[in-house]
Amino acid sequence: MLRINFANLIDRHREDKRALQAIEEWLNRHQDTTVLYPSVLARETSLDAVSLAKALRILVKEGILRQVYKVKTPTGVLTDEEFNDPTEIPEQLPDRLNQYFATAESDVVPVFQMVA
Amino acid sequence: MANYKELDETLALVYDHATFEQIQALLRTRKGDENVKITAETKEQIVYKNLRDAIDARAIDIEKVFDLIRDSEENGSQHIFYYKRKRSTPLEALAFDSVARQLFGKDWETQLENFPAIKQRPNSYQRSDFRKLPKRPSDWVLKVYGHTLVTRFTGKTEERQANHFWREYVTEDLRIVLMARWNAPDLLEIRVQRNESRRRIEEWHNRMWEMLGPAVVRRQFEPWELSKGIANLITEQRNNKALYTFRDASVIDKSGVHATFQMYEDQGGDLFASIETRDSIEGYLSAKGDFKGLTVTWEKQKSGTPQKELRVFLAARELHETVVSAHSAREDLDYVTNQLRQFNR
Repeated sequence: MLRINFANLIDRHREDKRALQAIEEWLNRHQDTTVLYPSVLARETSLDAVSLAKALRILVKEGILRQVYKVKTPTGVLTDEEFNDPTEIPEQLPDRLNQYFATAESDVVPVFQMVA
Repeated sequence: MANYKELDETLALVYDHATFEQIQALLRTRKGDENVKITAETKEQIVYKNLRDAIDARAIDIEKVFDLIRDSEENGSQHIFYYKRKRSTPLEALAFDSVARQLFGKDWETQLENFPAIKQRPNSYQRSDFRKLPKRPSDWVLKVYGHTLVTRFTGKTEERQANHFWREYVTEDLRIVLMARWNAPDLLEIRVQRNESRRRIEEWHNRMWEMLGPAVVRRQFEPWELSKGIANLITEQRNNKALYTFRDASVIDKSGVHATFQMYEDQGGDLFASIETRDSIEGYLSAKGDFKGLTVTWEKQKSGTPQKELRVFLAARELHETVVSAHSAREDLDYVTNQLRQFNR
């Protein structure tokens, strides 16, 4: 995992100190993580949705995370394909067993990747 | 760069085929240059701002960008069909010089100097590259670019009058990248880009065989089916956890019951983390169930290959077919082929 200087980050974003610290602690417990799922962070850090979203946004702005979007397949798992913007999602996508499905009614999920 | 139009086309290819990380790695080669910015929030920004600025300032050579396109369009987001050389096919017939002479004639060396050909001709298929691979002098790659127009349904249906429905179709350009990868001494890969139409996949697969002819023909090979490899991967997973895990499996038993196992990625992504799932899949295997797909996650290794975890869907439709959904490094895909060779014995 990339070492992130959270002390500097927190200095620059004092109002989000608690959320950034919670993410730092979570990353320290999951050193091999390359992808952050907001659902997991919400479950395991007990941050509220707004604080978590703000902290993730800061990490994206600082170039530490990259936000992409994935689509839920009809079986409820995420596709392998990722998109920079939800508008790029095509009408059909392959599920994880390579069966194509219509994306019109599928949920779109934000996912955060560690930038190397 | 001759003009802006070409640069726009080149950047569009980078955007379509290269990953964010690959583009960033290219920019990082000129780290410290005041005209090169490495970080970006989006892929659009890193391609159309950071990379464009670096090229405009001549901090990044356009040839390096072409290399990036070649590397990224050849490795990943593909169906790979494996074929094994028949014993009756002499190895010399598949040597680079022999294949080159048959494909390009007596002056093949002169012709190859014009490769790679980045530009495409409309509505046609053309051989765009034929080369040996670094560090693997007996291996080669033949690449074909194709272009066609496809008409597709947009999903919009409208009732304009009673009992009359209008469906909207659009015609679009489709750029096609096909490839043959010879792994001496015995394995040929036909790589075809992914598409929602199975008919197109099969058409492109056949087209690649046509483009290999007359030097390399299908009857010199047999499909290299992965059934034994799948069985070995499953039974030996306990001893190879650091090498690979499974994420999805689809199996049909002797009675025709179809079972699918899938792991949520936010819960680790390892199917065999569940003892019940491991027991079930091993049970299907020992009862001679028919595997209709197995996603293997090849784990990142300290040696640097694979550089990052790589997922490969085995036995996608046919037993000698795999699907690699993500763009990958060439060395990583070669690593997977080598692993499959070991497990499919």
